[in-house]
Amino acid sequence: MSGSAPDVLVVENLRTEFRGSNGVVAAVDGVSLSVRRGEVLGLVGESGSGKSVTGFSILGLVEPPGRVVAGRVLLQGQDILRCTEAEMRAIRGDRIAMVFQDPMTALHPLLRIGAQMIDAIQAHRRLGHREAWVEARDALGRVGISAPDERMLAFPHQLSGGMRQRVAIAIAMLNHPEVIIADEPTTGLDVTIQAQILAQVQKLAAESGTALIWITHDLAVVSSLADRVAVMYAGGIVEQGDVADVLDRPAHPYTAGLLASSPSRNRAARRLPQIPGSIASAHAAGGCRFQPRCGYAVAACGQYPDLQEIRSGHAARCWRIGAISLPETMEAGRG
Amino acid sequence: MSRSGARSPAGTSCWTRWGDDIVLNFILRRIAQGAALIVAMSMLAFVAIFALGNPLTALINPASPPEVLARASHELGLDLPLYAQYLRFVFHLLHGDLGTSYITGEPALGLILSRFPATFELTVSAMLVATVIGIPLGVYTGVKASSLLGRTIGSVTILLISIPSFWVGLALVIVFGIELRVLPTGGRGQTEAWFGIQTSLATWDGLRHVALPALNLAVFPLAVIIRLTRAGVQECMGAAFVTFARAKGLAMRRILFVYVLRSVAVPIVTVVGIVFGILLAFSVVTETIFSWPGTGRLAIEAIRGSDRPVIIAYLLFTVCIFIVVNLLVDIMCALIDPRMSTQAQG
Amino acid sequence: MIRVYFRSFGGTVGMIIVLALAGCAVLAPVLAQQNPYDLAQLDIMSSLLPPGTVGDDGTVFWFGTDDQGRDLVSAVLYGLRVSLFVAVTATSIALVIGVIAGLTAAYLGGVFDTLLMRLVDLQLAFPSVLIALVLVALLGSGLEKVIIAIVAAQWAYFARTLRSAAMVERRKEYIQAAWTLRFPAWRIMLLHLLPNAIAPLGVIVIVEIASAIALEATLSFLGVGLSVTRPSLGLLIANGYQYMLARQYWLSVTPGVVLLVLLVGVNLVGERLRQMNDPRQQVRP
Repeated sequence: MSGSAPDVLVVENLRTEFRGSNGVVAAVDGVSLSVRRGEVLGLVGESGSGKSVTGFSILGLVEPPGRVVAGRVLLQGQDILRCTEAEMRAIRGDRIAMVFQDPMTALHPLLRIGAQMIDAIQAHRRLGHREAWVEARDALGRVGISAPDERMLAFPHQLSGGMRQRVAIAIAMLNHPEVIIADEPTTGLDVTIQAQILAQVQKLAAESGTALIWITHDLAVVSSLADRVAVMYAGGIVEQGDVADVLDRPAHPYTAGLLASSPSRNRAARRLPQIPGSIASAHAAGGCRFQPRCGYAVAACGQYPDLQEIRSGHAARCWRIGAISLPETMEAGRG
Repeated sequence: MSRSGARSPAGTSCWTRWGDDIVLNFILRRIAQGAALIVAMSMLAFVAIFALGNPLTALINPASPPEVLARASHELGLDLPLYAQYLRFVFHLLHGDLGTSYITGEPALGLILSRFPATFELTVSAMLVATVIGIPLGVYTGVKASSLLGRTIGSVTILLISIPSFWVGLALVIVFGIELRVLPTGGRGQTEAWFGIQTSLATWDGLRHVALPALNLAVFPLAVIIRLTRAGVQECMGAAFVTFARAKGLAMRRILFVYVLRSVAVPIVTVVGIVFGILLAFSVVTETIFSWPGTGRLAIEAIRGSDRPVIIAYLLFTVCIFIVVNLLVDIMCALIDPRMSTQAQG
Repeated sequence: MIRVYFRSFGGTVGMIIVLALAGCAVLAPVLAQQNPYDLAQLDIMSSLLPPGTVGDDGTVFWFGTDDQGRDLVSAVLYGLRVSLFVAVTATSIALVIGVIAGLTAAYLGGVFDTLLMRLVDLQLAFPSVLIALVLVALLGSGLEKVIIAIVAAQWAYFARTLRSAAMVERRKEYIQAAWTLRFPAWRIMLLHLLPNAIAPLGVIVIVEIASAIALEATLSFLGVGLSVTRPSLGLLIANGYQYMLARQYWLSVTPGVVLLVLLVGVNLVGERLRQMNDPRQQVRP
């Protein structure tokens, strides 16, 4: 679904810092990405990579000790980082919506589902209670929730995990936003439920033309859902491109490592390789963040690499592009 | 498809939901517990009078001549076996007969009930002051904990909690009563009928008289309410649902008043219940300082005068009120938080 | 840990206050110009003198004198002594009783534990003032009765806290090990369980001492506490109450201010200790 559709959301060199007892850490360090209308962008990374913080930074929801210090976020060409709080409030939930990871804590435990949904509608539109109620109920139906009238009156703890997440998605779609940022919405859910929700979301996004930024650590989800993917590591984007390009022909050692260690691609049932080390020390080193764990590191990696384009739409932040070789099983397994 | 089981939005079907057994069961269980507690208290009181020390002195003035004592001993059934005595005791209890005061000769329970409206007035006024000032301040300091005002209020509450209530009372008397001569320092003002009840809150004079004692009584509960509300709000503010509500684009004011307040409502209601108990206890001190004609002052006079029947009656009465208030608090909590009734088992 | 404690301004002030006042209380006989209980030293002619007056024999009455000519500085010093003595004694006894009860409940478990905890919960539902009043009402007033009343009001809190901590420790392997080695119950409880469960009580004890001071003062003020022969600060305040309308404030205010400072000091120390042990509070960078 690439092509000439215009960019809905463009993030340029976003930088978010957290002030801690050890000094300042850049959880998001020079991140640039974009999504087009109707496109699904997968934002992949492990815990600590800064992918969630990126999502919050776009919406201006980063709380102290964190702060967005640099960059631009262009929504239809307008830089929303320069907006006042009142202007941001108008955008949140209306033009950009967010789906949180854990619906049990995101939904208020003491308010009925219907009340929370109507809130989301009435915050942005002058709609009477009755009409808002009907819209909310219809939204529940569209995400595949049965008996929506009853669900509207239920409390969150009375619903199953999958249903709660569908409610969260329904809330996100209520005001027909231009962009939805979904922060690991299917993590922790049953695999079958996960598949259902993914299918639902894909359908909805295609129908409404909403751009979707799907944050996850699961490559399998990305491969089935996303059009394009951006891989994050230690606050920076290390590779991005069309899903097919990145997953078949990864250019960055980290991406290759992720793919190699993904069980769903291990058709030959070989022992899964792992990326040695952990992300903890990444921010300390100058130069390429992945260097401490990289099997392809050379002296040149002491300098922070720029994003280099490999082919149209596919870029990676590595000095050693082209040196990556995937085991044969990977290539053979991809049918 | 939307017609199936069509119900109107929010409102009417709420009762079918509350018709669930769970909440009703919980309430009934709590009422039964309360009743059992009252029975236990009556037994304790019985033991206190009849088993500890000479029961005769608890009910009759020990200075009476021996024939009177002997006759009273028989009349009171002190020659009966213990269980029979207990049944007599309960019988009298249910008929409101808790003995007669040594000092005034009036029935103990009657004495207490006649003084109760004054105490009730004072307690309600103090409760109003404490909650009306305390809850908003608590919410403010919870949201803006690190601001200058927030931290100042925090320090002040620590101070207020440390001070004994009589000390504040004295300070109030000195400042407002004697130096500034603004408000009276003793007694209850004139009463007037309000909805059929005589209350001093209905007259200006009455309000002037109740001002200082109510303020004094409210100080400690005020500090407690501010602290607990602040803790509750602080915990709330960090919760995910607040961030989610912001992500939906809601204004902070709505978030505070609907989402946060709803969450802290349960702890606040519990706090109010606790505060009521504190008020009951401290009313004794305040009534003494300000010569307020309530049950607390009656109790102190009874203690100082060793007027046992009144003491026992006061204790039973206070404990009953306590149990009832706690029961009401639990019921309210169950109604506010639908999860409570499923969690709490006895 | 001592150094960490003193990083807080409030905590430092509190500690200074507490140490200074405790010192005064202990050294009262030395510091006081007069023995307030010795009637021979009193001169009725110097009664009700305002603070700062110089007496006939040159002694300065810094706090003034009371209705019987007693130097209030001395009276307050001795009153401080009594207040602290009562509070510390009562809290210590309550601590011991609470610890024994909580420890036994945690160790034995079962019915004993349930019963005890029900009792504790029941008692904790009532404010301590009320409980103390009840006991004083039933037992009468006087030094020993007041101490008993305060003990009764406080033991439950200690019992519950210790029991919670002990319950956590009880499940750990070293207790299992001791049990398997057939150590006698008392040994396990005292030498193994207790030292590891006692930590949270350190903070609570300080706060409860403050509470005991306030409680005793309240009871004495109401006239149902200590007897007049050995007045505490609360009783001194009560005695001076009648002179307030005549604007002779110093009789009540001087012991009152000392009481206030004492309570604030102890509470500051207690609050600082609580802060130090609270995992959610981090020292601001």
